[in-house]
Amino acid sequence: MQTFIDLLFGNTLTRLVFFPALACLPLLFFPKGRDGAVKLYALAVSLLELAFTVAFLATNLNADGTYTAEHVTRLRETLPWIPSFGIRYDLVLDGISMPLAVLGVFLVPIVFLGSWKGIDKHWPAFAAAMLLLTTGVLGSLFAWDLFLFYIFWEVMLIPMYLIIGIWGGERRIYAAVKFFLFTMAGSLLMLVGILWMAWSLKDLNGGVWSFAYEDMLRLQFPLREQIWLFGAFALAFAVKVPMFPVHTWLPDAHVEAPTGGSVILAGILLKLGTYGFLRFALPFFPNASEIAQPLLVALAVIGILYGALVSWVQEDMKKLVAYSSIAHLGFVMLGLLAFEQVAWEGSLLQMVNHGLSTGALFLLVGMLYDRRHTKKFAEFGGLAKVIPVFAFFLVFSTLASVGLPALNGFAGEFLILAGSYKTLPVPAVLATFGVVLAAIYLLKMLQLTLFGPITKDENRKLADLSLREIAALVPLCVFMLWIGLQPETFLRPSREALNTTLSRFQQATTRPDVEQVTLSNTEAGR
Amino acid sequence: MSRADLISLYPEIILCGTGILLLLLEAAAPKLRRAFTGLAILGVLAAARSAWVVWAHAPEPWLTFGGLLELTNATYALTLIVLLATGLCLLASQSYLRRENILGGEYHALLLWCACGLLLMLRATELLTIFVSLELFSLALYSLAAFHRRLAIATEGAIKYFLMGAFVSAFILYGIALLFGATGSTRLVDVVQALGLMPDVPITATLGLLLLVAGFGFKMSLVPFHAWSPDTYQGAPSPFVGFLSVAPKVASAMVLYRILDAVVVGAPTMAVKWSGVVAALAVLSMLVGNLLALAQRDIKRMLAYSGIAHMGYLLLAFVTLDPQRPSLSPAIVYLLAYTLMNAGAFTVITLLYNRPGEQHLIDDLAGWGYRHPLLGACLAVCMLSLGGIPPTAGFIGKYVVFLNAVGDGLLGLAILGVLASLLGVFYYLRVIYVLYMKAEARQPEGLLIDIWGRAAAVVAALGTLVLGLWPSGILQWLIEKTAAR
Amino acid sequence: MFLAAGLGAYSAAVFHLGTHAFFKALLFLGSGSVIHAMGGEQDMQKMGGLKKALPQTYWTYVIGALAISGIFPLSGFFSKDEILHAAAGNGRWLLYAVGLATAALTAFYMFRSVFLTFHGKFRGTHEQEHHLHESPPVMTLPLWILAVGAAVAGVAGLPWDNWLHHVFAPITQRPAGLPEAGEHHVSVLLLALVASAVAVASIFLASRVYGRERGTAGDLAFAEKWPAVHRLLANKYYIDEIYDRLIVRPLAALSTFFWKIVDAILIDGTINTGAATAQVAGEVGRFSTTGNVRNYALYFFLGVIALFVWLIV
Repeated sequence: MQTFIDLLFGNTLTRLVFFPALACLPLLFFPKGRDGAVKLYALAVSLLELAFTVAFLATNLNADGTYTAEHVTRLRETLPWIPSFGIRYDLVLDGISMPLAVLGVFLVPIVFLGSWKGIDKHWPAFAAAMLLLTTGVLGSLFAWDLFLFYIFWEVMLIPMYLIIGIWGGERRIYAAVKFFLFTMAGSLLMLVGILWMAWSLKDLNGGVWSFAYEDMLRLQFPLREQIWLFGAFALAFAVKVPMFPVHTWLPDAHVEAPTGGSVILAGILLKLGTYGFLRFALPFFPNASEIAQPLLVALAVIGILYGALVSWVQEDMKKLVAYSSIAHLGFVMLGLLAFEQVAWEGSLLQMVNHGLSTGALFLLVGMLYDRRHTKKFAEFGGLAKVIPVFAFFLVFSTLASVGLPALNGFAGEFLILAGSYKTLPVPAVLATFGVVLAAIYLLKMLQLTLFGPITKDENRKLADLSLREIAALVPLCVFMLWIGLQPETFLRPSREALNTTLSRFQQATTRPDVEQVTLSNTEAGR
Repeated sequence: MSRADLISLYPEIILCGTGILLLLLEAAAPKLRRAFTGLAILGVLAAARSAWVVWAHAPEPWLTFGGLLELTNATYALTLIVLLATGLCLLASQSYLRRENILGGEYHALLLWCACGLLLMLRATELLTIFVSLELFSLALYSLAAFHRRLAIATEGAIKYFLMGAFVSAFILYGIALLFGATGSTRLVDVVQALGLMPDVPITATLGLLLLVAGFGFKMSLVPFHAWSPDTYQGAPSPFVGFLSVAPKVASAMVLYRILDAVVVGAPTMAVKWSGVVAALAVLSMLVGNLLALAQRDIKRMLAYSGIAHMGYLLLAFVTLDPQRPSLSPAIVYLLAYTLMNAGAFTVITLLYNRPGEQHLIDDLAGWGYRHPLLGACLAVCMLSLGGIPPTAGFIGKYVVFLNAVGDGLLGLAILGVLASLLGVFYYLRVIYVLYMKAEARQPEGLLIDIWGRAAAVVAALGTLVLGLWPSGILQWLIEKTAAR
Repeated sequence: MFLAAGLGAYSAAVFHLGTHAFFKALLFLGSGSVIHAMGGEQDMQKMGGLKKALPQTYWTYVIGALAISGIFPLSGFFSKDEILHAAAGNGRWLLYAVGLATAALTAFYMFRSVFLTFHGKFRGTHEQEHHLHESPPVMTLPLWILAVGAAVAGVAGLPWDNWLHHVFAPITQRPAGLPEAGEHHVSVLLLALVASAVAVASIFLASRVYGRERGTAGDLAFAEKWPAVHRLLANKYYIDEIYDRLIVRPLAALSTFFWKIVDAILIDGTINTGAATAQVAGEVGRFSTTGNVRNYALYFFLGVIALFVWLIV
């Protein structure tokens, strides 16, 4: 029988999840004041983790870039963990989690590069927090057991809380606590929901405990129960996305977080909210999802327009990007709620896109902040003449974010709008205004920072980007362009998984309502 | 008294004997004082070892002294938890006693006798035995609370505790008398039988039971019987508070369970009403504890109120008194987690605060997470665990308790519980952000951080983490062994 | 172009889009060359007589202007003609009239710019006059390339052998109900003649108003005669201002409202109130811990009584 240690030393998901956490241990033994060595070590660890990820995909992805149910079953890593409650250590990589996991791993070295100067104290702690966060993110994405998922889900909170609270701006403690409490409030109710499902499953399963995803998927609740449970799950994920009106933690968290924290927060943590909808909330409670669809769609569209409008009137560059995240994630939610293959593909792609382009924007804002220690538009203007390389990257990332064809944002938004237009025509049309607004507020940002006359003398002698900074940005831009030109490559691994989930969902919604909880048979459940 | 009876008392005898030995040594060879902690810990280990030997050879359940004491898997588990708390307290105490220059064998002796009383009480099945052991450990507790006799605040807290304790002892005794009057026995088995034979539960019996519940609710500091605890915690020696806030609660929880069990089996018609009583105590404790903790600036008072809240969560395991469902194993898991994290927190407090007479302001820890990385991390882990955040023991404890509450159909209580714990997260996080996110405000002066104290903090914090990451062994054992009623 | 697309004449629309690309780009680059020569000056009021200094720019610009006006045989003639033909062919005479009138206006204003810029006397400063120069080849070469294009691109859509029609045949399946173009058999030749006549007339009119030494006198006269109309036109019908007042500013106000009121006060306010309530409850609750043992005993006693009442009732 496989043991955890065997898994840890193989080309496995376990290694991907736990390598960053284990790599924190040597950080305890770095002598004080050797931040340079710590930085290099952290970067090396994150690159090694990236190499492991590439190795895993290279060995397991089909030659044509597809990834099938057969892989999912074969690459599953499962061990008993808490047998008294049927809780298993159960990791699975499927097409839905793959792009997000890769994105997460990909962003970590970039974050370290981007934080080189911005983080000026307690580097070992920063590196450890980032690496633990990676473990939490990957664990949440791979966990196929709800208890395990919940553990990883919560484990993500603490490092992020520390990152915001220790290395953040002036109001960092407020922002950190707000972040923690918002997220915690949502997930505690989800915990009660999970426990409720576990009991229902046990009662139907002949008294045998199980928290396994596919077992939970077989539960069919009566509509009333579904609605309550869906509410508990949806709240947890909606806070994370974040959806209107539980989004207010995000601007504060972003503005106060250090650059690296913002990048990882926007880049990957938010995606776990939408991932949660796609993986858990929608498939578990199909009928409730259908009933809640109008409300959630309305909230998503409000999020798109609201986020865009509020973004537009910001005076602070970082806050503008933060609010734009709300709008962008609104698109992702809209796509998911369309229950349509093309829209789902677009949503998944857009999750990655937003990670890349918003990540790049936060990095750039951070680089500017490192130089001028301000993020206010009023302090800038005409920077294109002074720091042209910076200007190039800012324009590039902004255009990607706006959704300029040939860059990644366009591919995602187009698929989402095209897909959701079929099932949700009116919201899709309304959301299109969001695209226009995005162009307005993002171009406003360019206008106010890069163009026009140089109004401040401090800006005349700014240093352009260093090689390190360019090295952090180039990979992001390469992928923005690559996805923009060839989205198909990135859609292919996920297609089958999305299709399975979607058709299962559609099947489930056609079933008649049940009087009490039942367990559908395995075949129909899968 | 047979030989078997005597064997069943080995752990208590060892604790008691070690205490006496230490007291004699204090008189005969005071120069050995520095070694007392080691000796006392050896005594605790020996007691634990003998408890294991006795348990391993005993039938389940094993009644001794003609049924006055019983030994079950559950009491064995709780015995070990009490001994764990005692050991951690002894480790943490050394530096405090040396720093305050009050090192003496009396402290260790009292602590060991106290543990002895607790072990007796959690195994007692007869009300007078319960009462006697209650008095045994209570008197030791009062003395220990006042142990730093030069401090006015310690004396004040101890006197309050003593006054309230005496008041409550009277209630308990009166409750026993009423119950005896109604049923003609002080053995719980006989009480159950007598109640079962009566068509209606007499009011005197109900009142008697309620007085007992209130009495042990006082020892567990449940709202509204809680008010003594913040004052007492504040004045008492910090390492001892780590014990006071844990061990008596463990033993009292067992007694409370026995009393409620007697009600359910003996008077099933009243079970719903009694569920209401327990639910009310649980909800009040969770809400009042958390809300008042929110307002505290003093870390010891905060932990006093947080302890109240934790006993509220624990009570969720007792709300449904359904003989079919194993409600004791969640409670034991919770108590184990609570022991580790609370004792760990008080150990760090002992080591990082040096003016026992003054307030222990949370803000005094500002920035110390970097000055004392090990202790800071231990305190942070304990706080996260108290907040119920995985992967810690506190989360596992909450998980089993809430899981059972949900399974018993107490959805409302479970939701209330998680919301209350959200309040909790707020003030536990405050400790962490003060530790790591604020600039240092206080110079460390006169601290005495010894290896014993560090060991206690590390054991508690690591135990918290290990129990959070690999709870399988303990959970499995408890669920298998303590499920049967 | 939009007119054509709206009429369902896809190939005509695309055709015009193509020819338009040539001559409009040519005109933009030409004006760029002029502005370059004028040292950044963009106001035609301050130009005049630039023909001599910028001959290449002048000639290419004129080709562009002729093309956009639809003068035979330049590309604009064919593409515009096809659109008008599509309108007339569908019997949409009103649309045809609008198209024709627009074409006339186009010809007029294009040649207004030709005359004001390149003919007459120089109206700028001496310094500018001194610096007038033809643009370097790097600017004039594209002008010529585009000029050639503007001149000959019309061959793609000759009325008698429309290559574009073939190209677009697969995608120009007409929506049901829209009649096929050319159902009303209107003579292509006749329409072409009319359009050309209108264009030539407009150019002539422009030369009468702005040609020779007249300069901006025509404009001034117009402004004197119909000041309101002139102001409206000079301000581009106030469309920017209308947008600003009706859309941009209210939207900005709304956005600020969302940000400062909804986010900060409504949502955060609600949550902060909740948190503050808990805090206040805690602070108030602290008074229950009086430090006085009598009170503690009282709580205990009251608690027992309350529970007892609950148990026996």
